[in-house]
Amino acid sequence: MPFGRTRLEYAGDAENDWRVDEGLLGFRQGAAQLKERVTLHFEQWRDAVYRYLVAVFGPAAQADEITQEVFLKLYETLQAGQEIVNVRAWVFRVAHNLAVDQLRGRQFIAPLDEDAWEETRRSLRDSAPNPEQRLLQIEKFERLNAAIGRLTMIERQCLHLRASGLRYREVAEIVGLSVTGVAETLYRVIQKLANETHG
Amino acid sequence: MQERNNWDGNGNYGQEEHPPTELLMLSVDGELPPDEAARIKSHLDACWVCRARTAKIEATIADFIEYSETALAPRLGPPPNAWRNFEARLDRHAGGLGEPPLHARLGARLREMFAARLAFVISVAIIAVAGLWLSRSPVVSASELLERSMQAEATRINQAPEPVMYRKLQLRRKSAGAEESVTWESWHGAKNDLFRQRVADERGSRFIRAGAEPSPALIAELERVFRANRLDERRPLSATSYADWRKTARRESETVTEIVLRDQSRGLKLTTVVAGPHGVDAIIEISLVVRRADWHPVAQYLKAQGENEIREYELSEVAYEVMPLAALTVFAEPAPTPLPTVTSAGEITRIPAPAPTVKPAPPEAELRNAEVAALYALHRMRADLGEQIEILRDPAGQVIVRGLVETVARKEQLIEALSAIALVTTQIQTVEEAQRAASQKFSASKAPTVSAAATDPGQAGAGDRNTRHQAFRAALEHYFASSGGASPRATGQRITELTNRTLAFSEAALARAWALRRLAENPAFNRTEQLSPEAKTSLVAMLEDHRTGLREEIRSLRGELESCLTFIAGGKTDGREASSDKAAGASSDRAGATLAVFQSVSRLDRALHGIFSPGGHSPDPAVVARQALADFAEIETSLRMLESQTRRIAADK
Repeated sequence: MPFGRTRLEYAGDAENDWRVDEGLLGFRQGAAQLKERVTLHFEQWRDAVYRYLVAVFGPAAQADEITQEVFLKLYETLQAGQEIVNVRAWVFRVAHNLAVDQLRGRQFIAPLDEDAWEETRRSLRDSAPNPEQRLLQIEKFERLNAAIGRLTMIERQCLHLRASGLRYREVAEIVGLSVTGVAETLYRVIQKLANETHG
Repeated sequence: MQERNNWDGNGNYGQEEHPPTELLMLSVDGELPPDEAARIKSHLDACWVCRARTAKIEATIADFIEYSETALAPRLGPPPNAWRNFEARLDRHAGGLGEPPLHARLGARLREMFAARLAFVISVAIIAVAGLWLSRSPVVSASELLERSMQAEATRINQAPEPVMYRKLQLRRKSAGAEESVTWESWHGAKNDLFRQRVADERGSRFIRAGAEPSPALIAELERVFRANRLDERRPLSATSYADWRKTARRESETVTEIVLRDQSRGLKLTTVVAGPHGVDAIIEISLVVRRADWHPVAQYLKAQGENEIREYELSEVAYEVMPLAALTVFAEPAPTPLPTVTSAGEITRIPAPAPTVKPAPPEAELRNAEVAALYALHRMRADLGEQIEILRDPAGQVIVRGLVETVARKEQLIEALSAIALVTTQIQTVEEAQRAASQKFSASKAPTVSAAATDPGQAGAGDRNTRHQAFRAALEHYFASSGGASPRATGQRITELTNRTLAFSEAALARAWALRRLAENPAFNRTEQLSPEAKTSLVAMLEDHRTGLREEIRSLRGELESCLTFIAGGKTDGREASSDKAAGASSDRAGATLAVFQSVSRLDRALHGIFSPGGHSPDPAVVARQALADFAEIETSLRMLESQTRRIAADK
């Protein structure tokens, strides 16, 4: 479902001035409103940001911590009078940079390790209605899990950011590639996954 | 996924030639320019091979999403404490940021200096007084600052008959470690085209006449930056010019801060940071400083992208005066040069006037016709539906088509389409080219690191997630259940499909509305009597094309949504009459009608995102549904007005 789509090219129009001015009124006009605003953004994007961090960088506890830090930083930025037109892209970018800084050097193996995968397999077996379909689905997921485990860090980042609904230009700014670079990376990722699942 | 690749990069492929898979991937992701997307779609309609390849991409994406939602998502959240401590952390964080930074700095400084308890007590008292003083003068918004500054300027101008604004500026530039400066004076008729300027640098003081006397490189360079960014180079410290620029700038962030000016009076500094990528001469950051007492602009700072560096300009006002034209001889003809240096506006009347302006640039009418021809060429290439292309004037009077495109092929197409138009030059870059040029800035713009904060033990729970969106979702489910009695799963599918269609139509409608708005903002739009018959025909064709295209998109959207919105709104609404009046009021002039179309389409788009997207901020489904229905009616009214207006333009001799 394409919920939450954005159009970067329209971000600066006069019609949307309210978004800018609202923030510039700033802290002195109501910390309570600002907190409410940040809380709304938090409720809206926290799960997506957290999933991205865990799926790409790994440890859940640190992902939780980084996710919360991102929104405290958002409060701080808005409180200082700055306004952020594209909040979704901003929170992903800050989360990405924090994760890169804090989890640098960590070796990523696969989105689901062997224990987690066994538990997933068991839960899939219990839930699917048709045994044959169940088997096929588990096999497909196993191949995908292995293929994703073989992706490079940048490939995984592009894949999960795109799957979170971000456009190529937004992904490019977050991971530090050109838009063309993102397009090429995603094309490569899809080829790798397709080779695994569709031969 | 291997394929034969007979694509020649220009879209010339036939039955045996196929676009590369990368292009199909971009097409699936909606990342192609409109004309390229249309060509791919047309090819897919005819080509089974490419349809199969596209289906494979789609199937792979679907597999990954299924894996992600079924296998991965249950393992990825929510975190162990289910976000329970965030609200408490935010409260603490907000509390910690409560003190204004100025107080903190002042207190710390005093403590450092005296290191004594008494001094500390005094510092606290000073901080309290300063806090009270500052709290009486809150920081204003960017819009309010500009609005007040424009009003103040208008008041000053209206006090003189045939007013002429005199301004003396000190212009400095920093670039790659070097610094240059020049004194720059200008006389500008506030209500006519009169303009004179004079500079003082190491060659002495002299008037600058267009085409006759070369401007100092520094001023020529700054003028180029102003023109490239649609700022008025004749009014460098103007709030009006800034406000006009701001309407179309892609703002990344904006701040208004209180500062102390050189004369120790208080000022406000508005800073706008522009989102990248930045082509050469594009503004990266711009600031306007106004005096708090009378909102008069006294300085401007600019950061612009150079070929391989970032250039910084500072314009500080040395003198400013509004005086009647009759009191000046500076516009009299002829005028000898060079002239003695003057240091204040009061001496202006003694200045012998410069020689009459030589006009090497082509006549204005020809330039306007060339502009319309360029607009029309871009329109035929569908480059006016969301691509970052703009039309500017350079100092020599040439019409410049400048912008960013995604691919080299697209760049070549546009350059070819514009190549035959006289007086038009193109400065089109691919995004990659622009990013290469701006790589320095990009690497510096990464978001800063935040130090880790302590984790708080479990606290009160966060609010319900996406409550507002859920209300719409429930209303939509109710509508589908009452109209078809389908299963919850089928209802979910129908909502998804409706969402897809709605957002796609709305996006297409908004692209048309933007195209109309940009046409209306072009100076040629309000001076069609000066256009050649051919240019006028092109302008009318563009207006008609966008109007009918927009009407079709809106009709499709209305067809999709009317019954659903009426149901959610609780029956028929009276929005039609009220909205029609509003549209009529907003459409009293030529550009007003087009702007009314844009505003109502833009409002509808926001309302629809409020309904169909979890990012919406709308409080009540019924209220938003009624507003959306009213917007439909208003768009129809404003489109009818635009139609009559277009007919009048076509009929004008």
